[in-house]
Amino acid sequence: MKKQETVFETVDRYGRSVRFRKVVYEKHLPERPEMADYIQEAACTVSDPDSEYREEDDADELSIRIYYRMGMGNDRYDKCLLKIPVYYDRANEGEVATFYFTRRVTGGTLIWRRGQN
Amino acid sequence: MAKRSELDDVSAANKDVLKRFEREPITVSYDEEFDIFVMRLGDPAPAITEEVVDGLNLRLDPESLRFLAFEVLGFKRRFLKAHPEFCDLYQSLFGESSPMIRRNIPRTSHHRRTAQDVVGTLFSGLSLGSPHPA
Repeated sequence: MKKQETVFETVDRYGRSVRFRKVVYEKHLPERPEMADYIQEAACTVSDPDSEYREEDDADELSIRIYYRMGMGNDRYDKCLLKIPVYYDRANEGEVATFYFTRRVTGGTLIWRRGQN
Repeated sequence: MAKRSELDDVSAANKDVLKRFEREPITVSYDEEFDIFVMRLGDPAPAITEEVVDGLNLRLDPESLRFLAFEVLGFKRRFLKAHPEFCDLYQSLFGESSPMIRRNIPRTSHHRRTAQDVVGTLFSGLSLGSPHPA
């Protein structure tokens, strides 16, 4: 993967590298002003999620995982889940596609949930 | 599939959504790298995001649940195949242009009517998916 400036780099539960490129963050932030204060929480959600889902119709060249974690938001988001879709390439390196708060888990196939082996 | 009752709060908060599409500014953007399309009413604002169907999200005011925007993950890969009525709007707005371009839809543009139809279709089939513990 070409080296680019990132807002965070972390590893997922399997030790795979996941990054959130600054250019991606900056182009999505105007649509998601509420997420400006949640970079650290996003990194934490990828590395230590409450649950992980696989998107159903992954394209051949991509593997998409969705990470959720509760309790990452303040005030109006305190009862919301932080949700982060991560796109993995063939080299098994992940990129955060976007991130946001949501009220419920939807879609995908459950791969893992906290408390499960 | 969601129980209809799970959608009631969002539906109830957005009975005037089509009228809002007549009078409020509409902005569309497309991120080619991650295949994400966004159509927004008014200015960007803090929101929660609710998945309606696989990959299709509504951005809603956290308190009032008023519609702010919808976004589609896997837009070209999935959504356009399922909603061919959206192809003309997309192509006329973006063509073959470069990643992450924003466009305003003028109040007098016929695209506004198309956008209104798309959102009307989305809301008429509103389904937020089954809640289950994270």
